[in-house]
Amino acid sequence: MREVGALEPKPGLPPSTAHLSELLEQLKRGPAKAVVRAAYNEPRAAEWLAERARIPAVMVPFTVGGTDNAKDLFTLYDDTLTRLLAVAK
Amino acid sequence: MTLDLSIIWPALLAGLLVTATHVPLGIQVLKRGIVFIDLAVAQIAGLGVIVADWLGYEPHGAAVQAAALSAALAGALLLNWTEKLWPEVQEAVIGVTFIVAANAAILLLATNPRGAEHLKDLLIGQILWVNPAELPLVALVSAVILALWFGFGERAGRIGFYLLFACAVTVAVQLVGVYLVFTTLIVPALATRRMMRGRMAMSYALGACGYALGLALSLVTDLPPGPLIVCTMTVLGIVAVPLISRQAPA
Repeated sequence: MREVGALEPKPGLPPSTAHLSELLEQLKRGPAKAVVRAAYNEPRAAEWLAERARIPAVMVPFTVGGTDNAKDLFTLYDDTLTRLLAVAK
Repeated sequence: MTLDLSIIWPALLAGLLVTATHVPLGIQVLKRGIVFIDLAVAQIAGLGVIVADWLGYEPHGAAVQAAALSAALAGALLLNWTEKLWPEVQEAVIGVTFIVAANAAILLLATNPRGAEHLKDLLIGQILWVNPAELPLVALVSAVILALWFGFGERAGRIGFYLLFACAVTVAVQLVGVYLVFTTLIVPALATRRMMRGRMAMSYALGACGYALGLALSLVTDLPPGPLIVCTMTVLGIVAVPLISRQAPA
């Protein structure tokens, strides 16, 4: 797995217009496989980028309890991998 | 640097729609001396969203919208009633309403892993995430609000004002966040306070220029657009004040 870019490069601060513009331009040149967000992130930003860059958005549980399936450390990784593999095909 | 207008235009349109409804309402808010009402109503609408979320409804679904609007309307009716009951302390009642709604939201979100993000979103919003697909509906709602406001005029009365205000703020807060809603409501109305003629047009111009300039600055400065628009609109308002008072009739 390789990080191509970040939606919110400064944690906690909303991204600037210039940054998003660059990110979209970059994804146009070399599309990423997916936009990944943690379960506690608002879906709005990831969906915004997914729609514009025409790549899928995927939510991963981040920690035990992040999704209904992530019940312990094993199912956390199972669920994370299932979700990532579903969009990485 | 590329000027990607496809990022800017939904945000600009959203800003202009918020300006369209909030400028005339803002003039009324200032006249009534209840400046913090939008914070209170927005916070109550946000509380409605949080309660709906807590009850397990899907975020951004129709049920959540209904919850936000019902909460805001209930809040508006409550404030309309308190103004009738105790007009002399209405501003204080509004302040207390805001604080209680805000803190009830913190209590409800204390066990929610997404809580902090929810609260931040409500306040700062993110004007850039505006989805173009949601704009036609917002435009329709704004047109209805404006038609009712200008159609009824003074006849709308206090309750008409509170109800239309609740609808306008509920829609706007989810688009651009509380900070921008407050700025759009108060800054143009405050800057043009002394104008006798053309006040509405000047207020609209201030609001629209604030959004356009703030968004443009965000493209060239690499700073987040929301806070930039707040500051730009305020600076424009301050610059406009001496110009306006010079041309005002004595």
